[in-house]
Amino acid sequence: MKPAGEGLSEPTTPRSEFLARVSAALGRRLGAPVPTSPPLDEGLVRRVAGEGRVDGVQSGEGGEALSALSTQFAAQVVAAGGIVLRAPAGVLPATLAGWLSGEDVGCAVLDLSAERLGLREACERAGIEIAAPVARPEALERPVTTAGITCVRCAVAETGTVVLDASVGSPRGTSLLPDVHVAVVLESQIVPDLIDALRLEGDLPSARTWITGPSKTADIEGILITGVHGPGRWVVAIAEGV
Amino acid sequence: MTDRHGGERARAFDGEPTLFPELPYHLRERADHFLADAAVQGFVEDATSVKDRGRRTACAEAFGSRTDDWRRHAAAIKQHTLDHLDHYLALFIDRAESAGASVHVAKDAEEANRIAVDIATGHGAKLCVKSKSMVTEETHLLGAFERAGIETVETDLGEFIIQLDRDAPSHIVMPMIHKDRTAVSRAFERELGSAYTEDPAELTAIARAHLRKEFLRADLGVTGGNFLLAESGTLVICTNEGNGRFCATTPAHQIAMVGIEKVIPDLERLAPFIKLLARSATGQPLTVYTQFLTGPRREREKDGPETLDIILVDAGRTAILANEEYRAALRCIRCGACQNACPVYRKATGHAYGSVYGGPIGAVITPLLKGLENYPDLPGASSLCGACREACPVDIDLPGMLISLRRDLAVRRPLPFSKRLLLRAMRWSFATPGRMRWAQWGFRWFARAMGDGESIAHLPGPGKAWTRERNFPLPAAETFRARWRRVRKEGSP
Repeated sequence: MKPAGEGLSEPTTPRSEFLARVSAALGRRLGAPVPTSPPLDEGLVRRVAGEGRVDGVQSGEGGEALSALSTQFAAQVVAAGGIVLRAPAGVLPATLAGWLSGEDVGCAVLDLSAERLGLREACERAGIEIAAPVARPEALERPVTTAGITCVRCAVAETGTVVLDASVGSPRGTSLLPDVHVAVVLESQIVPDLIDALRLEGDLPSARTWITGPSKTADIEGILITGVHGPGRWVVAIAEGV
Repeated sequence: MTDRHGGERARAFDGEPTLFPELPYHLRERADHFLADAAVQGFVEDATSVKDRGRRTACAEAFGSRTDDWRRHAAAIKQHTLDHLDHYLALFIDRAESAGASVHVAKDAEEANRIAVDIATGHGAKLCVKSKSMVTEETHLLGAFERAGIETVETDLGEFIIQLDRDAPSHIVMPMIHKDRTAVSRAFERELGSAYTEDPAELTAIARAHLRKEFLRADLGVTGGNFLLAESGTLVICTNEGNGRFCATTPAHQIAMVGIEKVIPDLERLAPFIKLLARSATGQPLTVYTQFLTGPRREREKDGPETLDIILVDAGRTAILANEEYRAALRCIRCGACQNACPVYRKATGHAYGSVYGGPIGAVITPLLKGLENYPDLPGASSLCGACREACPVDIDLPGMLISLRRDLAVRRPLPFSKRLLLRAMRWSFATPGRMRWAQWGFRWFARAMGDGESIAHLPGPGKAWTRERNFPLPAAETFRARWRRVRKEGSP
């Protein structure tokens, strides 16, 4: 389907003809200089005042600012229809595993970074079966309540959003196929504004997903129903002090 | 067959006239039908009012007194991108292909569908799961896939129900705004064999179970795209249900069909749009899921499509681009806020517009995309009250464009003889005070003779067009000129 060779400068490919038509419509010549786009109006667009340098492992100092951010984040998660669990990092795995078994979760799948936090052992101790990361999605079609546990790239206080990057150790399906999605957020990963999430350093992964709430629809008479296709329950577990 | 887009069926399962009428389309064909349907007007009125209020509350909460600055900021970024769209499209194509996607260009709907069908059959696709996309509605992709023998399932809950009913969406964001839960229950009972229930939660669970099987079986996912980021070659998809994520997770192949106007320069400049889109559409701060897809799955990743084909569709957009008067209409981010705000949309409802895009934005872009001669009535389907302009998150002057389209129409298409005659008579009689007096006297005499003392129910000849819909008022008992003379003489009104 692709035109052979370097399509952009060949005058005869469908693609170059297409672009030439767009240029002609604009009264421009393709390749003519383009002034820079209007810059982002930072003062306008940033809602939350404050420093939020974004590299995923930001300063732990200024504990008060951090806790104000995480309080705002937690409130927004709840506003979006999520459930918040908070615990000091050391006890979070046990807290989370206890909550899951209390909710009758019988099977969980973890991404690699969640395993590294010791969540696998905690779940096993709570009697929750651990399924292999979803090579085939049918693996998660169990007759029991399933949970997918993931870590996040960052979390946004403004909207209660978690940002997930797909990778070899973190398939897309882990946060999509199960009945419950648990996102584990380190307090230091919380940034103030969506702009900070748009300015994360590094190249984009094949799939980055912002998640803000459980799967929702209001297609039938505007009545809000959760759990249409994605997880009906969305849990954010905040590890405090890290 | 269940081909809602092939034009074989004039009506949906429940008798609704579906979209895509014979062209040229005359609003009257459908307006009468919909104006008589109080139930549908009720659904639409309720749903749009709720969303309109939600938008205003959410914007006031987030942007306060600076809402207009936000709209102008987003508008400026998008306008810049449109003004240099050739550059940004070339950049997007280059970057998306560097990331491993294949990018195709389609000048019209037929070419877009042909490319999509070729890709799908090339992969041997048998079952396609599709998420909501307006441009695929424009091109009638569903019909093209079914004719090619590719079973295709709409997976957005509203679109799924509409597909079962062989109906068509009537709102950009709430496609089944014209249906209530009983219609859903009947569709599920009839097509899925499920027990009749009017509980929306149960209905949703039935759809979830049915569509989950399809997601796991499908070998092709088709999505649209809310934004294309030129600098990184990224496709951005905003959804609430999660079906859009499934379409980009479980099938082995993904096709994204996107209009060329969706490009913006880079990730950072997405900020104003992403903060405006969901607030304008539904009053949410963000949609539940915002996906940033850059190329297909990478080596050793366990899921996501092995191939990602992006089809950039023109289908009339460069013609809009070429006309500076209307170029700004391409700033539209398909939030549906203008539809929710529009009093005409609320009464006439979406299908009355005879195209995928109803409401104010539809009245502007449908004639521009499909030809003014094919949709001559749409620019008139507005009271020009300006509610749409106030609602638009990217500051499109919709009422101004509607007026310009009316002018274009008048220039292009001479008025009918009767109207020209009337205007000529008016010009002649308004030219001198004497003629004016005689004309007034003549018209008052005529009106009294026709009327029943209060109004005129039936006018003859071309006047029928007026009295078919409403009575013609009788002139006041005293003309302004007579009153003026009297007041001057008597000194009191």
